[in-house]
Amino acid sequence: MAERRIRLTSATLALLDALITAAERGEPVWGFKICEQTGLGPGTVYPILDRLEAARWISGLWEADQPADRPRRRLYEMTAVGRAELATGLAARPRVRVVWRRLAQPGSLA
Amino acid sequence: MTTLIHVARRSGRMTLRTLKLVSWVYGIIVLVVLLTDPQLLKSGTFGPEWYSITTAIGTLVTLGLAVFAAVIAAGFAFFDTRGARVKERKASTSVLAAGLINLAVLLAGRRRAHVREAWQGDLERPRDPADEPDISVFAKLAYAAGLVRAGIRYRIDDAALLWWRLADGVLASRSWSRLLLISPCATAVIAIVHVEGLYGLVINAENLLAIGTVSAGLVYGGRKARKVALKPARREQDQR
Repeated sequence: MAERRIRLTSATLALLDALITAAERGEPVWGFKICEQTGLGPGTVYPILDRLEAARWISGLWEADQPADRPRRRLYEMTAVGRAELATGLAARPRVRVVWRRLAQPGSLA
Repeated sequence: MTTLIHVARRSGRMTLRTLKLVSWVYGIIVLVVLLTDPQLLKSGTFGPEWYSITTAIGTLVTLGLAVFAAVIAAGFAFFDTRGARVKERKASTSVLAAGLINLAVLLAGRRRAHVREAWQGDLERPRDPADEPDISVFAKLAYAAGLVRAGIRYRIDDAALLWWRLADGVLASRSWSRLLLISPCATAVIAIVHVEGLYGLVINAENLLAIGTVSAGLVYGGRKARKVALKPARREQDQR
């Protein structure tokens, strides 16, 4: 109850895709990098990151070493829970689409 | 200098608290006046004095908030939370962008104070452009403006979460769900009987049915949509 439910919107999927791609390449990703890769603004990206982190789909960790000439960055990566939930969510999505398409057909509600 | 920053920060907090208090008191006064004297709601009762006082207070509160936001954004652009001069730490971020980041952190709330470092880390670049190319000032400003939006959305999300917690609590409770089902119908019945008498109930049967259906739809549909399980009744709990 009242836990943060993750809706798989196009923005959320783009963000998760960026995280998975970065993990496959072994590259760290932070807020700005995600914005660059997804083409989304920080006003969209950060609230989604916050929700995903609260739902334990992703984990955020600070850079291990403190750089001398800039503040530390918060790096994000997907958790095992996130990967499992994403797979479940994506499996349920086509079913919704099929029902929606069937309803959207002319004369389906007649 | 540190003392000066502490004084400025404390006075800023006090200004915000005062503005909050003024707006609350003002809101309560308006509500009490309207509730105790319903005649005021009739057209033509509000005199020009009423309008001028309302406008003056409203303008003052708005201006105060705007000035406060501007002072926070501009003042905190030069100092970070620990009171150290941002310039001394080498800020590649423009003053305005840094101010916007501070405003965004302020909007995001104390619970998310840690995002300051992450957001500053997003915009500040290493001294050597070969490590990481710098971005234009306008791009930084646009990004910082987006962070302000993120701060506002954090707060909206928090408010929405509170609301959903409340709604889920009502839907999970038997007694509150019953109240939600019965109260609109009961209110309508009382109003109809009061205005039209008992015969009014026959005439407005379809309206009562519609109200009941909507209430039931809200409760049962809401439970299904939110995946809320009804709490077991006390008898069932005792049996267990």
